[in-house]
Amino acid sequence: MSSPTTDAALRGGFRSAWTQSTSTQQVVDDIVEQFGADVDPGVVMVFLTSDADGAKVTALLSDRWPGAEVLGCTTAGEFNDTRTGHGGASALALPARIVKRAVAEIAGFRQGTVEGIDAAVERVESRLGSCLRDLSPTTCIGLVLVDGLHGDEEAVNQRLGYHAPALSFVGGSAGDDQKFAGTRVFCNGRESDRGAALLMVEVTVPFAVLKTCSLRPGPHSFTVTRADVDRRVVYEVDSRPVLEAYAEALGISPGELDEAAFIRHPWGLMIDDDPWVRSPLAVLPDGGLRFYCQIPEGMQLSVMDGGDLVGGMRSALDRVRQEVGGSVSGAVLFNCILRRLEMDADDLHPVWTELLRGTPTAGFHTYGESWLGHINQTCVGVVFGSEAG
Amino acid sequence: MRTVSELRDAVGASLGDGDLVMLSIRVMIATGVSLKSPKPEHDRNPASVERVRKALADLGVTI
Repeated sequence: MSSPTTDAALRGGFRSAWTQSTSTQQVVDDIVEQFGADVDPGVVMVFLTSDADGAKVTALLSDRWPGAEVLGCTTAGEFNDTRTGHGGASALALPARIVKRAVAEIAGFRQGTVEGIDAAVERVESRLGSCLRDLSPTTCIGLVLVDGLHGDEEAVNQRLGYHAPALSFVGGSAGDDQKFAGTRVFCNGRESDRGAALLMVEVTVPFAVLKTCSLRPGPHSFTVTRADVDRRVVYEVDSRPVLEAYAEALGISPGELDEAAFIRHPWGLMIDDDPWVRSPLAVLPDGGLRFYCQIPEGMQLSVMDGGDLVGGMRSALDRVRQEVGGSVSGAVLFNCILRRLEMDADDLHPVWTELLRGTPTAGFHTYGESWLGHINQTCVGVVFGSEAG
Repeated sequence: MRTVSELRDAVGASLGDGDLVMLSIRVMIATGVSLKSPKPEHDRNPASVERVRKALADLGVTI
């Protein structure tokens, strides 16, 4: 992923687009133009600012390519393999010739998260003609875009695990440019501000799940001893007030626990030396520490130290390239807003784009990432190999 | 079953190794308990065993 877009990538049929427009018709026109006249998509993903009308955009894209499943969501920033920014849109086309089957549906959660996922999975399975449990994890991959403000992600991931324990659903939580007022997901012209867009796609090329974060465990770790799991709040670790213990680990006073400290030193659940990050969100007046995801009592977590975001991403891309046979034809990525803030502060966007250059890629900066569970301060994604392997 | 290890072995007998790896990550995220390699303090702890059993049930795996 470090050379200009290659003939091989173009032959692969993946196409990406990026626009700074928020005008519905202009967003659509820019995507259509940048995909190229010869594009034949089986799936189109579009990630766009909350100022744009995503339902209308996906409806127009569905009209343009009636054979394609079109899904997307609002963001906290958008990028492709040539540009990065916020307040516009990015898009990716998966070529129809590598898509054996694809179905996208909206899951609405107003009657309950489990009920919404169950109903959507039933529709997906009906349209696919297969039970998710019968699909092969080597040829089928799921995408999940969840609205980012209602805290449904844990239940969504758990229920998808119930329906498809062997399959990966990879995705992110929709953003709204850090306004925290309303996020939306879209599918073939429909939208939900309390739900998820699901895609199940069977492809004829190899693929791999990418997961990277730039953090490593420091010397301090805690076991959570009192938490309000549903509210994502921790009150005690090692039977001590959480703020006291966390501040002591960082060598600061509890009053100095702020967003900068949270971003530099989130907590990590270590699984086989790989961190699954849980990021603090805010200190509460009742002495609790609210996180961006749930932490159950009994979980042991390390206080993380900063690392090399770019180096970690480069290594992750190298790793998945090998997993798909050495040749990458396209990718979709979901990158945490907290990583974007780090990229903003350290002017890392140019080198980020350089890492992706040459491979049609689209993605967005999220309010949380999903793969096997809900995680934070991580980049996850799906990287597709080529037909030649 | 009275230990997490026994749950793991029962699950492993009905699933492939690949499925067990993914399932173990899901259970770990939900409970903080490793199904694949439980810590000694979790393995025989009734509360940990029950948490894992419930997480498995939530994932459609009943023992």
